Amino acid sequence: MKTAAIVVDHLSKHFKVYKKEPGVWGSIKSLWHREYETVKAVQDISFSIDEGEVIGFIGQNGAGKTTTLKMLSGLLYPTSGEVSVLGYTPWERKPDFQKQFSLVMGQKNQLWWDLPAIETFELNKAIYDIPDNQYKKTLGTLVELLDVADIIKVQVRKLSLGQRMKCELIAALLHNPKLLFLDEPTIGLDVIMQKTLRDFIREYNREFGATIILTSHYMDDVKELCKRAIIIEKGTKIFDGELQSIIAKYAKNKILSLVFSKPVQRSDLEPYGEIKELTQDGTNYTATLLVGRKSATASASKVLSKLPVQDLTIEEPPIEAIIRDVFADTKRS
Amino acid sequence: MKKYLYRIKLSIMISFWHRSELLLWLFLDAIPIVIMFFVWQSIYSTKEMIESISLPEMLQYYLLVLVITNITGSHFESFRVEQIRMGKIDFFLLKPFGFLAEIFWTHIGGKLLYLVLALPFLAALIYLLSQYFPVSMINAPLAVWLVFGALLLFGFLVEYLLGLIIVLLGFWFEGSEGLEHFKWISISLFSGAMIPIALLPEWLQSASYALPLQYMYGVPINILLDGAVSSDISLLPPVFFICFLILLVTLLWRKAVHTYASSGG
Amino acid sequence: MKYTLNSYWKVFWKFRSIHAMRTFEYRKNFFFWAVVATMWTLFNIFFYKILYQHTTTVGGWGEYQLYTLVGLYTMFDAIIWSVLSHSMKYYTRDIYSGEFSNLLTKPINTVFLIFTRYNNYNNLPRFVIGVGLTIWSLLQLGAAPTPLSLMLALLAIGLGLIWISAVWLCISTLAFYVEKLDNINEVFPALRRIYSYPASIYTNTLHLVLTTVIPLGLITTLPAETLHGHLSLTSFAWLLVSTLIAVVSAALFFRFSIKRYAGVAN
Repeated sequence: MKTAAIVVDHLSKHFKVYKKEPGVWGSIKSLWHREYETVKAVQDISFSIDEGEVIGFIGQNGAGKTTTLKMLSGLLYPTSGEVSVLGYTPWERKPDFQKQFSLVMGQKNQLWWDLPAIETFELNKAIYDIPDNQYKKTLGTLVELLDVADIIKVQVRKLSLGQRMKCELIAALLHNPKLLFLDEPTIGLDVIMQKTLRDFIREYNREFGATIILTSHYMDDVKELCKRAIIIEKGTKIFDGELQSIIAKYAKNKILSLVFSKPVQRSDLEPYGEIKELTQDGTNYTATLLVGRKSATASASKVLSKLPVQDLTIEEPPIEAIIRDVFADTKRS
Repeated sequence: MKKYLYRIKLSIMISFWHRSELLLWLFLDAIPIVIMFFVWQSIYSTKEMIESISLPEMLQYYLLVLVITNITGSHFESFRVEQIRMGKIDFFLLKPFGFLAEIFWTHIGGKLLYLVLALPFLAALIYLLSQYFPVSMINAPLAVWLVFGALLLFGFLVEYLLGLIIVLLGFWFEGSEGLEHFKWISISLFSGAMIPIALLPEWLQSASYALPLQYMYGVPINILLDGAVSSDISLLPPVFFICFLILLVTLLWRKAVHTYASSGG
Repeated sequence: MKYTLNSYWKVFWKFRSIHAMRTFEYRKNFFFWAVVATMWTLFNIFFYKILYQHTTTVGGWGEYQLYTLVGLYTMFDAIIWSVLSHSMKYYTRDIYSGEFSNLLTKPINTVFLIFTRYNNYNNLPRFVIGVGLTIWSLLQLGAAPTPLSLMLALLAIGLGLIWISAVWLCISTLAFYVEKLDNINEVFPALRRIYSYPASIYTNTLHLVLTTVIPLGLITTLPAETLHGHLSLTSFAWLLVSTLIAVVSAALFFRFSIKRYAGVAN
């Protein structure tokens, strides 16, 4: 039986936020009277994660994902609730605990800007007290996995965003953490780099057996890497289970957007999917269809062959829509 | 006109948001002057006059230095040079306002708010210090005050224009904000801000009397302390100096806009 | 596995070598700022020289006696501008930007990281001038400090540095509580002028306060007097006690403040 790496029990975090009225008068008023608002960033969340699992935390911006991660890393003290990570209480920040995990935040960096990445690696070696041979071995493996041998001796400021991200990952993994928190790791990267990073994360989990929590608002990140997903919306957990079941239940459709060169009848479109929108106003002839995920490509090619289509796009329903559906469902039940 | 009023209003709001910083600056800038009070008090314990300046007059001198520094000082150089270095001024170059105008109106707005906070603070400080130290009173006719006011304006413009020149040099030199230090040291040495010009060594005195910087501190303070504008003071040198600085700024700005590459960094 | 002193030693020197590399990378910058720092130092010393053209004592200190103090002040300044001002600046900046997380997740003492992360070498000339001025002034005075005086003077200097660091850490830790305060790190640089003159220029209550509970007056006066051969055990005692209190307060305040640390939302 797998041991639990992380156990979270009724975790909550509330913040005080100041409000200011607009204008100069608002500025002056704020001198003696500040209005507060309590933001419930995380509200009564519970879950447990086994060793070696790769979990996706999904949610919109401001849903509470990063706040939860920060509490798991010991950066934030919760307002209430209990957390056990690798047997430790994170916010006690014991060095033995900190040596076993790593937090990588997509837009923050720890590499020294005007020096080659290798210098930051050596620094981390000293900070994490990594023995020489372990350091050489781990570095070698990571450099090979990420294919960066020719750039680790180049100044970080001269690297592209993707190259920098790879070096950031290496810096974060030199001490072989058992637990990896990745906060929006692929943000701002191009499609190819996103795939490279995803492949690497998968490989790292396979090779080192690390437990990985990934937060993202890109559905693709989570789809590729995680069997299990936890959806957080407005600070609460609204779903925790197999990713496949979310996709099957809520993302079972794809959106087909069509532009026609001639008017088409509603009855012409109905066989191909659920019509969400149809515009035939003399100049624009457009339609939006919901088609089954699995049959999307087949439906698209049928529509192309049978109808006067000028332009066609197939899109994923946005994650916001999926979350809204899950949320609505949870409210209803 | 509305455009300019709005700019001032915006910069006042921004400055207000930084009001705790402004208050802190006021307090911090006063510390060296208070220390000077103690230093001079201890020096005058063994004599009545130094170069015909009494202790009360010396203390009043330094208070006026503090007041003038608060009214005329400019601190925008580092921030603006960094904006240029980071290539963040595209926005201003595209707008009809221009980078120079942006600096000017922000500076004015910030200075106005600063003075609203500074003047009561300085009044309180002066009152407090006069309770513990023998500070001389100022007894000057309105005409002298008007000349003092004109020289304050001169000081303000010199600080502003010199600051602008440093910022513009940022288009060509990395780290041009370091030139701020040369500005401060030059002004301290030659204007009478550091110590009354009469107390400087001979060679430095001659240089100070030859340069227009004395009109920033030495001259205005002395006319208030004397209660009269002496006949050998002419307002021509300061006016010429301002014109010269404005010319320099215009030339540099024209060249800068040509040189500016919006990639920055 | 506990961290040994050896580990901390290694990390400390690793940071120093990183900054040496960066200095070399930006050597034009280094030369420029070294010149600016030297200019300020000479400017300061020049001011004292002018004062002594018009008097024989300042606070009861003769010219060369004062230069001992000024030399020490210059040395302190070199350390403040090379190390402390940068460490504290990046500390408060990281609190506001949320990058402080990087420090908190490291398995090494956070306060150690805060103080040792940064330094520059631009003030090396200034430090050398300070040492030179101190030695020269002692030679002019014909003063020959005994080994004991020398040790005590070094102890006073050490305590002074620790006191300054602890107090500055407290002041900068206010960044956790105040929404935005860019010039919080200007507080100490303004206060340091207090010890650019002998404590004897301050009178009455202020003198009492500055030589006891807030020993800003003792920072340079005490080691200078010690080097001149005047030992004041009471002053030493006050400096020691104040430093201990400052260190304990700083540690407690820091720990308490970490709890407030929220980081940036995303």
